[in-house]
Amino acid sequence: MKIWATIRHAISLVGQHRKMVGIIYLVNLCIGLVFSIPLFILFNRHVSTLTMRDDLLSGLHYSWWSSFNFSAQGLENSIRPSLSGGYGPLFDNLELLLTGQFHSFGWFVFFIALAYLFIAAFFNGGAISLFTDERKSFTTSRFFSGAGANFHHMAALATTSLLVFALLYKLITPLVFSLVDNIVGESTVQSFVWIINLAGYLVIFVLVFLITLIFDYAKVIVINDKKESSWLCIWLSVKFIFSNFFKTTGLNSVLVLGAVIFVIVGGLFISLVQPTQILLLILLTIIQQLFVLIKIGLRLTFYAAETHFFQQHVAAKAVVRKRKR
Amino acid sequence: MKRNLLFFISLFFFHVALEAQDVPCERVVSYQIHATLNPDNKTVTGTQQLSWTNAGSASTQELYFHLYLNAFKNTQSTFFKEMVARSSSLSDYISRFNQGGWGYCDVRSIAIAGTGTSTSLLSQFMQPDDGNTRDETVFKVDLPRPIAPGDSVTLDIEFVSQLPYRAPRTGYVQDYFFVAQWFPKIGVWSNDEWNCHQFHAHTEFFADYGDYDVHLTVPSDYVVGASGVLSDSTTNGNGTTTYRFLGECIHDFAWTASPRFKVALRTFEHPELPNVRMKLLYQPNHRRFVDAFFDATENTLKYLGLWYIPYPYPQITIVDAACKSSTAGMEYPTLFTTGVDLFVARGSQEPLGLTIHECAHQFFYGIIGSNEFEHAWLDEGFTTYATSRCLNVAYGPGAYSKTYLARGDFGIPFTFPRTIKDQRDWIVENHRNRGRRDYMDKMSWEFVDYLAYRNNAYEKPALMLWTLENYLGEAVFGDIMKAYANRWAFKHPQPEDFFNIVNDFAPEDMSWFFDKLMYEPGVVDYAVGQITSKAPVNIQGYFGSGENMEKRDQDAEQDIFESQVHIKRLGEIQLPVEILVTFENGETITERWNGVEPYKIFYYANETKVEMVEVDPYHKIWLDVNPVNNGKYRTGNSLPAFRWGASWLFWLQDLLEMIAILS
Repeated sequence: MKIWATIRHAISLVGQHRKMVGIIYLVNLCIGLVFSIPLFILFNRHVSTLTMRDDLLSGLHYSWWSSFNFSAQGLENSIRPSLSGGYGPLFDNLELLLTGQFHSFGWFVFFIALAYLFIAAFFNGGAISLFTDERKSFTTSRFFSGAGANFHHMAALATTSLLVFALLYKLITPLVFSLVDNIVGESTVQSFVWIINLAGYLVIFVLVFLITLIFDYAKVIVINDKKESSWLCIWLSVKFIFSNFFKTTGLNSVLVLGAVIFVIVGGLFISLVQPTQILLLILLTIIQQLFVLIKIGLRLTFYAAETHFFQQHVAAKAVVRKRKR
Repeated sequence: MKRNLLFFISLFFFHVALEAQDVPCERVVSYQIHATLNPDNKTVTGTQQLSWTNAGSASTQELYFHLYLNAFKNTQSTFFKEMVARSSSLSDYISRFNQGGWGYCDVRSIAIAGTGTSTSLLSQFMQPDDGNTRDETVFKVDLPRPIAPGDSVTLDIEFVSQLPYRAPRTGYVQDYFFVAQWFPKIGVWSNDEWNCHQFHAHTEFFADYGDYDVHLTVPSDYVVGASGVLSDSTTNGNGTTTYRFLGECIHDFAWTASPRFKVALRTFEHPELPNVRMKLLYQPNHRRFVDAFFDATENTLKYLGLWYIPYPYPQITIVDAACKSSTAGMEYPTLFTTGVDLFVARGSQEPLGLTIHECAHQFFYGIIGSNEFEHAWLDEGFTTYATSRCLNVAYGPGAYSKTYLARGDFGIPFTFPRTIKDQRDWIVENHRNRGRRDYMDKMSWEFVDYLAYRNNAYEKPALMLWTLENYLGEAVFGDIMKAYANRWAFKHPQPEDFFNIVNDFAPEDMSWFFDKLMYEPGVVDYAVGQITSKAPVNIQGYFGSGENMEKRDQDAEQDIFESQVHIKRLGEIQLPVEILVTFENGETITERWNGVEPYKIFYYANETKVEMVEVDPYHKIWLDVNPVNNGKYRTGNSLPAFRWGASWLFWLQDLLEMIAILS
């Protein structure tokens, strides 16, 4: 398997089914708007007449934020200075992935995210079913019928994935960092303390990477091979990944690297725009929304690449079997 | 070896260049201490000869001493008992001490000098603050004869100090030793009674000025920093070196030793101020912060020297404390500790903030020796004020930074340059959160909890000084601070001494200001309420009198707008405020309100509508806990809400997409 060829193929697959990206983006946007419109109204009530409102266009006035935050409740609590930059929102979310502190922006946000997990699981079924059958072109009905037909599998896998991640954050992470603390001991050498802690987070990152990899291939297998048991597919996925360890992890490592580069570049673009006027504000909003749209496309590219790689592997094995006969 | 040689050469020149500066003060104490550090069992064994002069107006036949290290002797000390009541970190300390060792100071003998150590004086532990009979942080010695005013007594004392593991402000971690509050230290004979408080959970220190001649013997590979200046050093031949430090007119002596320290030396020079040699002991991986440590120290010596009083000592020692030591951010005469994370966010003001704060303590604590037990705000509040002033002048406002994945000494800092933070913002923020806890005029250990202590020792007094400066004007307040510093240098001022100086310089008696802030809990908060402007719709009937009387019909004066401006007092503390009303035609009216009533309505009739109203428009009242509600437009603009609503939406969308990865 050639990684670049697989990725190129995956990108062209996602391009072929770009309407699917649009549908998922619209759902993502609508859910976001359901919560951001009330927040906007509330926010408008707080700031629209303030004399420091002009400062709030160019950045988050710390003095304003700290007094706003003092009496903030519910969703308002999630307004914070890190939203002022291009990277802040992205880094805040990446931090959640490594720490598992998904409730840190309030339980309300936690439950929105939890609900979205299953919505995403629904769309995953549709996307992967389209990717497994490359001969057919995109239709909305095929996408939704694939999503509906596979939802029970996707939901089961998402639930299992949640349990595994809960295990990671509640059991394995404390163990990893207890080990980190033991290694660090009473060392006063800050660089040593820093590197060992960083290593701890790298371990967590690798575990997150492996878990998502396993569940991604489980999704692909359950749909591609039309298996009855999604849990069995987790095992099949583990077997597949570890029997093709360097190829599977190599492919996803390159994809993750691509995602990191995308986040860095995207964050930079968002940081560059200082929305002091209405036109700049519109431009900023467009860039932010484009970022989300591309990020959804990027996630689907992971599935497309994994599906393509799995199918190629199965096809190659079939050829070998035929030759043996 | 080469490194050590260079170090000693630099120390030699440093010492040779030393000019004796005559520090004027009334010397009440004189300590000669010989101490030896044993790094293996973490002890300091010492002998000290103390001469004490009765500077009071009455005789005394007893002497009171501090044994601060006994705070860490067992869980029954007042320090621990107060930690139980006020802090959740108690179990951390117990496990720390069980792991690495408890601390204490054991006085082996105490005798009148010249009579031999066999004639020990009777001593007993005292608990003047709380009656906790198990607290051993203060002890009393009975003398065979009374010491009359002006007379002196000299005592020979032998002691062993067991250094605690990572205790607050003192102790050791690995081969880093920060030796503070380590020797039997005499209390202050003040108003014909002993002022010698126990060691509490959140209190600091108080002592008389005098001279210290201290010989410190440590392993030869250790780098030593101490209060005072290095006089000479002797290599003993047994692998140890003895350093002699002389400290004139100081009220405490602390020192540090570690083989890991790197040393950097510079001289502070300013045409209007005396030169000061700066000696920095820094951690090996903090080389890139050396300039920042020096720069912050220089700016403090410069600005506080020009604003208040020149730093009178020939040297200042800056100690970059080892991580995990719990000693970063502490002040001792002519020596202070600072610290910094391995990485700091670009644009953030670390290590400047901490360094300036601790260096500023050289003025408000070191030179002006207020009683930290009884009036913590006189040193912490003044220092917090001076720190923010110095930071603002020298460095300007900072940017908000966040440390990602923060975990102990680990974290990845990131700056958000679009979120500007004035140096005073965090002070206002903390005061807002804690302002209603307790009031300022209390003994430090009597506050209801640590946050109340913080608010009343640091934040509220700092904001009070900023507000006072703005109320009286920079020039008058500058004169006040200069007079206070010069009049009370090397003395022990009380709050009333500062108030008296303020009243000497202020155009009015400012007692009302201090009475409200010192003795009443609560906060200051003024806000603009409703603003209305409408054309009069009800002008009907007869107006004027006599021949000028005329009947008017409705809408006769369409061009005049009647406006109402509501100003509210939301805080408990009342201060006079200015209100600036701006009309749409650019016309402005400045109102003055005594701020006593819960609200005040101002009425206007003008050709245009009111555009904007600001309470305290020039932001003089830094005590106002919510400056955001001080300014208001009559009409709204939704653009800022849209900007932040859009950013929030973007964050939520990104979060949802990230969660989708886990599906």
